[in-house]
Amino acid sequence: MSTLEVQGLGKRFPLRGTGIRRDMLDAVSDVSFTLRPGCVTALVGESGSGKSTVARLLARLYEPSDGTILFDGEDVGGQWRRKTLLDYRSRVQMIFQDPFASLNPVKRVEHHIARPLQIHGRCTRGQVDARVRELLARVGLVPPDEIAQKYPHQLSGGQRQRVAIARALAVEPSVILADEPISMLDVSIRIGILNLILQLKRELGIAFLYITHDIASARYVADEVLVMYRGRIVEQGPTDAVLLDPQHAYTKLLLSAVPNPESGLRLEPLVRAELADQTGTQLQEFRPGHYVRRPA
Amino acid sequence: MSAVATKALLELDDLSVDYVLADRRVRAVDGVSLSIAPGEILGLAGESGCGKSTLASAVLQILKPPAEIAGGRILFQGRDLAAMSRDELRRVRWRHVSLVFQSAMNVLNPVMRVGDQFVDMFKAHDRVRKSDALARAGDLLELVGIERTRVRSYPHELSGGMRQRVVIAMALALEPELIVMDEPTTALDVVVQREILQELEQLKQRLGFAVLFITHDLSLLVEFSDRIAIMYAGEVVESAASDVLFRSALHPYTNGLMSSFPPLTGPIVPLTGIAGAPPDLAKPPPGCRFHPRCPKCTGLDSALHRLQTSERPQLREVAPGHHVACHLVDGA
Repeated sequence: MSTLEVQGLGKRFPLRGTGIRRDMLDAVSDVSFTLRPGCVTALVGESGSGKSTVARLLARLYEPSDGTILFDGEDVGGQWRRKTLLDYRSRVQMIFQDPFASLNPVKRVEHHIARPLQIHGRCTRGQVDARVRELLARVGLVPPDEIAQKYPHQLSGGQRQRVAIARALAVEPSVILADEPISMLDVSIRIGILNLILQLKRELGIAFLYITHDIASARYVADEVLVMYRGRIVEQGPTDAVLLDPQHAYTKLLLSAVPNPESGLRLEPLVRAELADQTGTQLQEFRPGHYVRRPA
Repeated sequence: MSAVATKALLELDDLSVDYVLADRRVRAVDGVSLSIAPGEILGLAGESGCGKSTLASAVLQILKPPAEIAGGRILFQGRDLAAMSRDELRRVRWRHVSLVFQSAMNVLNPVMRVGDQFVDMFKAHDRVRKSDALARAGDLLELVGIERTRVRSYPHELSGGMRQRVVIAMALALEPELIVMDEPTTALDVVVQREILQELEQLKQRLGFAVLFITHDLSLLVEFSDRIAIMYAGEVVESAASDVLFRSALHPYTNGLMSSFPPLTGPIVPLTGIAGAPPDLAKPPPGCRFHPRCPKCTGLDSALHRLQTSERPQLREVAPGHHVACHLVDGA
């Protein structure tokens, strides 16, 4: 199994103007982390904080403006030939938020999982059917023979997301990037998907990047947490170190905003101070493995 | 019971709503009875497709075909909204009962200034001068924590949270007794959600309106509402005061929902959620609608199993104010 490492990753989008007058938006800057085999890394933050941009950079849907992406120590930036991209994507797969949009409504389940097998030449034509059924069973879609013949509209949201996961697994990836995989699902079936992620990490040693705005779910699945705010990581470290003893003001703010049935509605205002400007700050080691962004 | 009935602000009495298709009727809301007291926050929780949004539309009488009320009454201050004429309804809506939708971002007209949308709303209900209406719009924006100069803004110049606040300000404008809120904070992130809920709570204390708060997020409801009703497959399966429901829920579905939220503190225990998926309302399972997913419906006791799979449990009061519809729960 392999590791995916990013160092100083940054992405700027042009806003308006041209040449040196052009305004640029710093969507992501100075992001560094490592996805290790058999490890779930959660990336949490509010909408617009740059979480999905990070996933798209790692999936090579965007070209980074700064920094490097290392797969097993090898720099994969700047390689945009079809062959190398295909090769990269057979090792790094993605699961999207909306399982209603990510499956083709006029194709059977079978088709969705057979496609990557064919495109990446993972098995011979004769083996495809058996492999499709094996993958369906692996993600808990039983009986696989029956499910394989269904169309996406005949499945529930949770089942569709499992199909999307089976499709990602088809090419035997080392890394899976899951962008808000449970936020569109019913509450009662979310845990099922999280448990599947835990099972896949344990049994197959896959490295997961789990992107979410739901901190409680991050605590449930993740070994390590990255907290993102305005395009920068403000705190990162082992899950319980970060979530039970948060150091950065934004992490504290996020945690205090999560509904807590135990305490009842707290009416004291949330503290937004200290969050003004992130420029001139850098991540500093607070405890071994636990980093906090502070003024340099 | 009659004392409660006269005190209730809104009372749903055996309300049913059908979607009428070419060849069949699908019952989306099935015999729901609920009541909301003045100034109370009633939380209605359930998963997608359980009928909670259909119920909200029924309360405001804005069901669109093919949906129609198939039975029951919607009593608001003792008068049946389902039996009112269009003209009577026009006088009740917004002045007495208003609505905040889930996607408030899309409720505002993108090519009109926020203030002008308030003016339109005031003019639809009162004879007012434009300058007075704009001044009042400014007051309302301040009430929900937005600068009054924002009456001159277009919706796209506001963030999602601000637009949601604008919609809440509009719902408050005519000082209604009841506001129906259908997933008002679902599209927002947690920090903004918390700020809006805090504002709502403070406004409620000041203005005294009641809220029917609909969401799938049970942990939010436990924190925010006075009483909670849990809906599953078109029916209410349990209702109780929030703290009672949180500490001693009786219905297996409610317990399943409660154990679907991982904790933020304390030890992490493996959770199971609820197996399976909500039923297709076009062909609901016989007997208890939750039985195919119910961890307590084991079939070990064959007589009980026959009851569970053939007879629908009725909502019964098992403790004062605590109602459950489940064969496994002994009556009071």
